[in-house]
Amino acid sequence: MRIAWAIVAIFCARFLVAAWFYPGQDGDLAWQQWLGLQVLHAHHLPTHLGPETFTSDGARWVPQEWAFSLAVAATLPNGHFGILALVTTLAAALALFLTAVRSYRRGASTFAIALTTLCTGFAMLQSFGVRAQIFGWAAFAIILLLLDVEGPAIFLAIPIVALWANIHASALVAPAIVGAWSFGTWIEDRAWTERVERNFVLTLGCAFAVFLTPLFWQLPVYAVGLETSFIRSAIAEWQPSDILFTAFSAGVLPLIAICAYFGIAAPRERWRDGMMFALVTIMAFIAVRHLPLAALAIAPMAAARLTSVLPAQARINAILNERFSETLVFAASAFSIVVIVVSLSKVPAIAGVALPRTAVTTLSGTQGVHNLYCEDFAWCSLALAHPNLRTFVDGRCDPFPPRVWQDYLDVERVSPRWTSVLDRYSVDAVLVKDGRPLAQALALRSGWRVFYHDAKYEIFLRDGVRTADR
Amino acid sequence: MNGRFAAAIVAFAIATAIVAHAPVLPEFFVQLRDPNLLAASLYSLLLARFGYAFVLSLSAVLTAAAVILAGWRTRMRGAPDWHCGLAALLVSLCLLGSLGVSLAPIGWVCAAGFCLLLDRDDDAAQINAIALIAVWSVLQGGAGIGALIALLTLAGTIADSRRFDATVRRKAVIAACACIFGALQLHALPWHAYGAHALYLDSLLRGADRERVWSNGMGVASIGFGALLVVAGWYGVRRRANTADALVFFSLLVLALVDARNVPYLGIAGAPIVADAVASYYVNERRFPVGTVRQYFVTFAAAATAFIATLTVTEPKISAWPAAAAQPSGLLRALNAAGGSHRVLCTTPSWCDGEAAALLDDRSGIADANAHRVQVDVASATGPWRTELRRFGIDAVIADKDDDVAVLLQSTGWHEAASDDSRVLLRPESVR
Repeated sequence: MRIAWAIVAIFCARFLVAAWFYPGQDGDLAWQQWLGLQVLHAHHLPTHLGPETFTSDGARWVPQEWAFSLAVAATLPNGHFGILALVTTLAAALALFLTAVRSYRRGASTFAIALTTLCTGFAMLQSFGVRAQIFGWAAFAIILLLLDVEGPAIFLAIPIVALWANIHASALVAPAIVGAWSFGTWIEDRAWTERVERNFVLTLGCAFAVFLTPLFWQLPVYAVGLETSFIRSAIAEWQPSDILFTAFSAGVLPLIAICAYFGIAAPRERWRDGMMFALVTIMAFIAVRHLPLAALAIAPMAAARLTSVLPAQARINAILNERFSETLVFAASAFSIVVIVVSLSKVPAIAGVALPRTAVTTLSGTQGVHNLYCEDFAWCSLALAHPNLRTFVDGRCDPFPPRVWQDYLDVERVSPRWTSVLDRYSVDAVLVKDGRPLAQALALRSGWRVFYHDAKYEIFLRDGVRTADR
Repeated sequence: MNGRFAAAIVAFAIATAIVAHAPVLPEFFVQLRDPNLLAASLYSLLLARFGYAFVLSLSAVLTAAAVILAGWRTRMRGAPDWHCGLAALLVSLCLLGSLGVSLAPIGWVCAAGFCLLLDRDDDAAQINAIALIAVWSVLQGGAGIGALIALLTLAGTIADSRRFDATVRRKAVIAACACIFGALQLHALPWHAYGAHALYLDSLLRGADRERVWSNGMGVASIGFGALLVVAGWYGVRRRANTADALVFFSLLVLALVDARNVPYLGIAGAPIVADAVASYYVNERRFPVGTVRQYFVTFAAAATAFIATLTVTEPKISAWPAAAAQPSGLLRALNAAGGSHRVLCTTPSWCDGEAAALLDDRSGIADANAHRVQVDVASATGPWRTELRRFGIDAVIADKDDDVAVLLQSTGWHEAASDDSRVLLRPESVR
């Protein structure tokens, strides 16, 4: 178990570096900060989009990440973002650690715990960021631990789900998981026993808990709607898993393979695990964002089965449990942590600024109100802080109607309708990445001129639009 | 109630599904043009002589045969009939995403037969396995996947027996022969049977078509894959302590994740293993079938003949050469009707399957690196793509109407020469 600590510490360092530099990487923090400030000023949650967008003013909005947005607004503008980065990192580390604890409670050997914790860490890497769903990982890990313990404290899962629902809509996974687990107990007991009844009551409690937010029924309706939403195709985290993704090939896939090799639900032995395995395996394939949840659920099952071949008395476990080996592992971990922090702090993809902040600020410095189209909708989140910039679609994504999304994609993919879309919405500023098809198309199109240009980004302004008159 | 005919019923269902659905897969046209595949000439002859209905029903019968052989393999392991039905069902689900007319059903039936023979341990099985892989290689070019299965079976057998006994020797001979056929097939000379795309690993090349199991949420291909994996997770493929089973299952699992066109092979090889693992939990005493494949073959052949004859006689004759619904056949015809020499680039390579003057078609593995680079640059309209179009003499582009490259080309001197519902054929003004 102590070696699992070392692995958690290594991932913790990796997460912390990513979290520290996160504001330069993800545009979502910009709209979350904006939302948090809106809530702090108005003392209520917005229910509709406002004039900050020129395409969807008045569209219904379920600001499900309101609590996290408050945290961003309370830290980012004051230079205290490090606190939020640290808390987020600790949430991810807690999820990873609790998974190792669950493996340990199942009697898994040192090697099995270490291996499955490592895989879980890899599964979390791709999706990690200073994001609301990271707190969902921690909540999920706690709920799974409560299910494993099966003690009187099991009903603590209900307030945890309620808390999770207030942070992120992914809380809707909880009733499904607890339901699958309850169904598994029913198969195991082959009768409607007291335990089965308790578990189904717990499932109903978890389902009820997702309503306990300021958004009431709107949150579950929103989350269910998102499963079939048109916008999923435009969001990387919603894309199906692929063997070329490290989080999948080095994270979830080995865990699934271990389970598929040994089998985790021998007849009526562990059908709780079996049902949960079926659900999270399918979830893992459907979307990248589910990979960490799948790994958190499957890792202890894999660790327990792996221990059946490599029992605690096996040579490798004996070696790993020796004091010298432990010292060696801890020393290596400490060295790895230093290397990770020092080396990743110099990697542009992590420590650099990947957002067109300067471009947006420069545009906002010009006279008049601009209708801004961003080739990547996340960039437009940066414009929310500028009152004279109105966005086509921004990082809030969900509330923008499908019609607007289709129009956004028509321009982004330079379909034959792209110019008519820009004309119809009176777009006068387009932020693009240099060299991309949309930049080429705008350069060929008369009536547009380059207003801003740097090494990565360009802003095209429409000729002859007197924005100051608006 | 007994499950004696469970596998046969599932096989019949899958055969009728093919006939009812009847898509022609674009890769069929690449295969038909391959002079090194005997089945290509054979199918061309059958198409010309007996018509499309005959080839369609033949594909259906071959697919059903693969399903029945997978069920039979499960039965040969001593699993009860219901578990054979489970294996047949899992195989059928894995085949769903690839059903249609192509040379693939030949590969499936050969793979099922090959796995069945590898499960046996006698001299006759050894000779039959070598003969089968030779036939498979010549007909469909699938020796690559056969060689992989044979090698993994050999590795598993060695791991289990830990000595070079007669069983290992037989598997080694089969694996060696399979590797020779596979190597000959992949080598440019003396014959270059591209076959099943060398395990479809070439789909990882830049610019190549790649089919993913879960490309659009829960799809048809993903149902079988997911079902097989979940059942394997519940019961475990090592249940029978057969290392070869685990090696074959997991290798094909990885291949299926690389490209979904390998899912049928995962199903054919893996479903009997999984169904057998399920049976091992619920069956105390294993009973083995009395008859042989040869005895049942006569019955199957009679039923298959009746099936093909009925369909060929009753279905309306199609005089035109078949076309794949997924392909822009009309645009390719328009291009060829325009006369003169041309070189065409399809933004999705499989659209160009069967087109002689294509820059890149579905056979990415034998295309040169330049073709891949140009394909990627033009399809994404990035890099020096306009210069590359000129340098490689590409004077026709088939793209989706909504593709950025279509709009960009039309704004710089190319015109729409033809179009269908969703795609457009673009040519430079100079060849108007």
